[in-house]
Amino acid sequence: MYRLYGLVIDSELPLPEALAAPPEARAQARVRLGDVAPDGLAGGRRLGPFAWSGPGVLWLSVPGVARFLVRDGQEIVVDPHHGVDEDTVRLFLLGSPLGVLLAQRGTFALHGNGIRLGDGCLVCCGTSGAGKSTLAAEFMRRGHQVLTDDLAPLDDECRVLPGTARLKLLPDAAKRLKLSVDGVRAVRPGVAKLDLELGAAFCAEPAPLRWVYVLGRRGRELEITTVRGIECLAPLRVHTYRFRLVKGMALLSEHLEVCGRIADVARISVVTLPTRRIAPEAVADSLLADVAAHG
Amino acid sequence: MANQGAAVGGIYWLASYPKSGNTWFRAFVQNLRSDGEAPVDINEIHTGSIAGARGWIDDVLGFDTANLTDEEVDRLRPHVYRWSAREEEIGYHKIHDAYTRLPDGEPLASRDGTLGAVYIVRNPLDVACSFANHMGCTIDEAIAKMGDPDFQMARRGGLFRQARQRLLSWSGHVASWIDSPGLRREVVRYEDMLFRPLETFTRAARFLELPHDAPRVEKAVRFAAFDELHRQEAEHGFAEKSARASRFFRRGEAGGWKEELNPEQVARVIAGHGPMMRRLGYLDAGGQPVGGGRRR
Repeated sequence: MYRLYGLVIDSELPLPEALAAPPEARAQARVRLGDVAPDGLAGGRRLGPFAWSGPGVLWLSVPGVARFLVRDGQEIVVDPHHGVDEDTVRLFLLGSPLGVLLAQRGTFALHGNGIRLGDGCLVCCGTSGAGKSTLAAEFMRRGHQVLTDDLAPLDDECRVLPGTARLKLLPDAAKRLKLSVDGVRAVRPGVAKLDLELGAAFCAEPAPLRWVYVLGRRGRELEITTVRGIECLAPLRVHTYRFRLVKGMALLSEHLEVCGRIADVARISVVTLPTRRIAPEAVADSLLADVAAHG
Repeated sequence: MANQGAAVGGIYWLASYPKSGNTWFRAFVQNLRSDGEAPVDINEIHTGSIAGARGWIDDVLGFDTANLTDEEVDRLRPHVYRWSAREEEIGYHKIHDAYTRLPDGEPLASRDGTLGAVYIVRNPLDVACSFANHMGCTIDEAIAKMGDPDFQMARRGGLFRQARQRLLSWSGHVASWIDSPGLRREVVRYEDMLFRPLETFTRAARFLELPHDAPRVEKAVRFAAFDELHRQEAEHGFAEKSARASRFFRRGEAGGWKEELNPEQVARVIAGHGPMMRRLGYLDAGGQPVGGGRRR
């Protein structure tokens, strides 16, 4: 039994990166190995080349890795591809399938990294490659704790829920930030990213969402633009974790409510990064200065 | 259940080796489609994501390609384009990948999802100068990259907002697009965009099923003129500029190589790409570079 993103999960597949649940805890969701239909969901609606939805169900295939069936916010059935290693299956299980399970329970996630700042949480959103993990590592280097990497779910009170005590980081970024990577393994064979243990830098308690910074826009100079009201909706939609799947599962009205709540409690800003090279230290400086200036 | 459904739209690829006029061409397409009273903002050219955009690929797949190898991502890319062809009426997407095929023979760019391609080609002597600026390397290094049959961009080792793109050599890139059987294509030379704009852009617009009446094409050409693109970049910057380059829109001319390349560099480009240069009219029968000395 494991504790992950505020859930107690009973998993047949060992999840060594998750915290152990207390012995008295009752499982709220389970992960089990089983057969998942190879060709999609009978009577379902196709959401993409590898995804189908039905009432309360999502079918997802990661070719060469596994097929996943995510049901009613209660269960993920995993059907691993023949010969695939367990690390790889787990890496994908803890991504979209888990994100969808949470969404089915009304717990939507931002596609971002959660950083503890004082008594609140800052989430940096962005697509893959935008520099989220490097920035999280920079915050960590400065002594801030990390709640979650890549998937930042929010509970009913808009608190960011902690994930695993790991950060997926490129060797170059780790080297530049002078983080020790001795003995650190790659997230899976053939992929450069390292599976860095956070140790004491992991924050295992939820923290209220206070700031959302969206990375991705590029321009002449680093610039932080705060958006308000209805303007918050577009960046929150774009950076909702697996928005296509959320939309495909007819969860949009619940999602809209959550976006409204986020806009009520957090300051949402779009970060324009310069087209010249910029060090993560400089980006972190700017975000912290913005936080200090606006509270 | 595995039925992908009949394509309702499809993708026109705006294909080129880097620094061959692709962004200029997309600025034309955006101005042509918007048909506004003022030039489109260069940072708002939304003709469609570049083929390698991880955001596009991950969204359609529903999982994170950052956790896949380059080869695994390549195998999935045709599925993304085939699916997207169902979802959008007609998409106009930039692509720098060579027109390569996967081990099963499927084109990376997808056979079913593709309506056709405009292939934009530029004299490699000028590409070498511009490419060096773009990559932040010397001209000798740029020439070496253009001659490398295994040249790739956004290779693993770093995680980029774009998936790995195999370009092949400059000649290999051109040949992959203009000689590939079964691909509808229109070849557009940068130099013709420069010196015969109305005729060239009208031909391309017609191929792309876009409006191509003379007043509209003329206005779009004017709004996408190099001076306008250059002015906008100077005022506001350009999001697509590489971190290594001082500016994206540099000279916007043909024949600039005469001032930037030394004879040995010219000889090296010709030695590496002579047959394709001759075929595209960049070399005369005697193997000497042809004209192209006019500036904008």
